[in-house]
Amino acid sequence: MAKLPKPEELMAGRPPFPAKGWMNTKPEFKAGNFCYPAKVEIMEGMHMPHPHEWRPDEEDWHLPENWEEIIYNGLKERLAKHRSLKVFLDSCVRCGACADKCHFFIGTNDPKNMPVLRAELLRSVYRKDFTLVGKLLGKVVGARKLDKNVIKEWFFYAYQCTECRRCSLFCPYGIDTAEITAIVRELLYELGLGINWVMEPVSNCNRTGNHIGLQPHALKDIIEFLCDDIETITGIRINPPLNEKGHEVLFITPSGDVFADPGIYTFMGYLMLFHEIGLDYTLSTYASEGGNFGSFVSFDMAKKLNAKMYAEAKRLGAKWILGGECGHMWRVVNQYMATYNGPAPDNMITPVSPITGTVFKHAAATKMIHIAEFTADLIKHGKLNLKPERNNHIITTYHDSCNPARAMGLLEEPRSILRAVCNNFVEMPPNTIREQTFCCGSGSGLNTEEIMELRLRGGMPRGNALRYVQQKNDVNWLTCICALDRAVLPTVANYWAPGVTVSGLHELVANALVMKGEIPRTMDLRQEDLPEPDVDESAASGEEDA
Amino acid sequence: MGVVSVEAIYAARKEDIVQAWTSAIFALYPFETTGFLRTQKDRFANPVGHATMVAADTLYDAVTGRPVDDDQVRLALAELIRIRAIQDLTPDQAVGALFLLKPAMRKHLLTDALAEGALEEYLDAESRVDSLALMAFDLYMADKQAVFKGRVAELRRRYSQIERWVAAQGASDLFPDPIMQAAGDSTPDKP
Ligand code: SF4
Ligand code: SF4
Repeated sequence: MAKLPKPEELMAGRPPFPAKGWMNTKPEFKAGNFCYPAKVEIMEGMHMPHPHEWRPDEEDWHLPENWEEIIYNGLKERLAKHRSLKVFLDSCVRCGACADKCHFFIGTNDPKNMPVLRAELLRSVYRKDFTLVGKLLGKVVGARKLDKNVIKEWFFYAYQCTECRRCSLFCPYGIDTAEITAIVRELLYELGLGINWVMEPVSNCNRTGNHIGLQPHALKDIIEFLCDDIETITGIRINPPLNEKGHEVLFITPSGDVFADPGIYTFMGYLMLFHEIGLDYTLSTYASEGGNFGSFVSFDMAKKLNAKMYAEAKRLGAKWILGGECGHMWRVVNQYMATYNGPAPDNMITPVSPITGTVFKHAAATKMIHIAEFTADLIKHGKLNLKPERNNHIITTYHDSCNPARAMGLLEEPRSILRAVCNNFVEMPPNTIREQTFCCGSGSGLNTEEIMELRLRGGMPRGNALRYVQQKNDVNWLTCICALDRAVLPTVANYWAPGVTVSGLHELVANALVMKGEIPRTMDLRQEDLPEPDVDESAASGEEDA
Repeated sequence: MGVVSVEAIYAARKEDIVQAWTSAIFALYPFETTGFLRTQKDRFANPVGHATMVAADTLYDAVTGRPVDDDQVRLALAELIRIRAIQDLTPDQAVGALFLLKPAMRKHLLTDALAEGALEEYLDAESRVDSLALMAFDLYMADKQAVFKGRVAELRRRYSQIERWVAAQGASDLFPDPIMQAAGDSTPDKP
């Protein structure tokens, strides 16, 4: 019989980490720390290589026989294709500037979530097989042989990176670990290793046009429900055009805005705005997804899903595309669309606001602009009648979604809109916003609920900054311009800063928007009572005390 | 009886003890991380280290019998446990961080407290550590529950309009939802 240990002994009973150095420490897969594998039929349906049954928490992942060759050739091919990859792999000097900048490192405190080590997981293999010194000197120069445990480690840590690129901001060489993660995920897919939370939306999107697989009739019905709600709130009936040819603008937003709370309020906001300014636009049931989960699989898959935007703009004869509040959609559009699917169809022109005449020259190649740019321009030209007082019960802060902030520099437009539609806007601390923004912790296809605790760790730095302004400035609202954020930040906020409500930007725009012919508003877009309802001027019976 | 001087000892040893305690907590983390947790002072760059240090400071005062505001103690403890409840820690590691205070107190306080004939005061202080651990256990469970409720609430939000659509088709039973039922109130019970 042994003596019962004292608390400090009991707690220290875990294996010292990492006794053998990080290269030899294996990740431990247990329920809650990995995403579920993609279903075989989905992988087959999308013609992915080597679809097979496997489980991360089982020893044998049933890799294809020639898995080493596949990885070797896959890496070789990508090194040839993406010069950036070779530069990123070659040029890291392990200075450590990126090490503590990743929200997953900050939240998990797992050293392998330091971007430098995350990249090292691939780099070590690259060094061994693709560099002369690595071949000759091996471990001495940080090279290691590919074995099945390395593959497991790749899976573990490539899915603890949201490809947010915060780390790259701090790297003196601009090394983008997100790109390395993306390549690692691609290589894993070559072995038939993918996650369902990404592949199912990809398959749905491929088949029906949107991630959840909504078919045209259901999409139409749901949009009508939302128009019913708008009518209840404003007394105005809107009938948004669907799949109609000959309109100037094709509007594409992430489908989450149509079917999920609180995105729907933002969607209602778009419709109200378009109605009010008389925008000549159409929605599409085919191009009914702005998001692109294909970009979390491979370049080719991203390209395939992205193609529908131009195809639909061409079919409908739209002159340019207006895009909704989305995150990764804008990384794809801004950085890759022109290469993937360009040039844009001949019928398209550089976007120009029909209301203000502003030409959005920066979008000359893609023919596509973000709604925050569009609305900020409307407001700047005084084209909207706004009553920010309707949002007086809201003290909001603003979350810069990673992709719009870091991949397209969309920093001022959302803020200028927010200031115009809400009287109380408070920034979070400087090292947590703008280019330095902290990820929601669930981006790049990690917004699945089986890894909720992991997501909350990743969301800790954002939640922590939110908590700070909640305590210091009584912030009760968090505005963002990304559909994934709208899906996951309520959960992050509920945990880290309970009491803070999350919304999109255009929900607040529409709350404040005075529409021609509307009834006096008594409720906001969520149909909650406005603390200061509009005064009904037509019923000036004298009893009003406002 | 040296009540006053025991208080003086408690105050004089605070820095050493709080440091020893937080170091012991940080030592539960991987070796490469411990230094970062201890030295990065920016609360936004290092929320785990910051919450741990703030909690240690406040909780030490509470344990040593200084008059402290109940809410403040609870808040400091809650912020610490909120983090530890979702990190990759076993429950004993999450809550047991409190007990790591005891060895530090014994090392830095016990001898002097005994010399002052203040055994009882010292034991009271140790008992307060136990009280904090009990409070921490409640907080930990509430946090875990918030995570589970958060998962269900997220699921509901994700399909809100699909549910509405299915209901409009007169086919609500297509959404078989024990989960939705179990969700009940979607607001987490939080301190
Ligand atoms: S891209 Fe983001 S999640 Fe990935 S390593 Fe860099 S900071 Fe971390
Ligand atoms: S900051 Fe850049 S060079 Fe320095 S360790 Fe990180 S990736 Fe390497």
